[in-house]
Amino acid sequence: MSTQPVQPIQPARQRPSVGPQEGMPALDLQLQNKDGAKVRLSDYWQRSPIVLVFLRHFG
Amino acid sequence: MVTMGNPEQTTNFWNTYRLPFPGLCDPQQRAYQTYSLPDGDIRLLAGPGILGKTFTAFFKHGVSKSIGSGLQMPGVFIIDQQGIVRYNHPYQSSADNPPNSLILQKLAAMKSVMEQPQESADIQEEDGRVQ
Repeated sequence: MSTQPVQPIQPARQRPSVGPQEGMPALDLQLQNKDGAKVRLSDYWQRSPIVLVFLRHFG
Repeated sequence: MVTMGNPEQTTNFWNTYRLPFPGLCDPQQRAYQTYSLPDGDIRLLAGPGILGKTFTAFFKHGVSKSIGSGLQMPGVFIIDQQGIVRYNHPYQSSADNPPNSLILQKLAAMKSVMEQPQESADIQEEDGRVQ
């Protein structure tokens, strides 16, 4: 059994203030889609350019 | 489009607004963090200049519970087929939506660049035959 402590998620205010910049490689991630299937962001951008929107929403 | 909801919450949101594009779920906000989208404070979320838009949204869509962190700031990125970021817009306030016209303009410019090498190659080929 590993004794290595789990790294906590970095608190928001300590995160870098800027994300991936124009001209930089985008960060590929695996997420669940709304149907529960695992997908990668690159699955979408390899098909066509994408507008990736991180939403703040109510509902 | 990435939400802070789980698949059920995201599906409900998609069904409510009949959204025609893919919906991705990030209930722990790891993708938001990876793209360095920070938490906002009260000034960025409901400060002067934002309250008007907030009330408009409440009247239009009703008052409902925030999905995920109410402090999380949104963001918009355009990524090309090579996986390169062509536009980034981390929101400076909760009402800092980039205009749709700007997004369409960026996409049109990318399409123009994508088509350019083929046209250029055709011209070079033609020039080669002339010489």
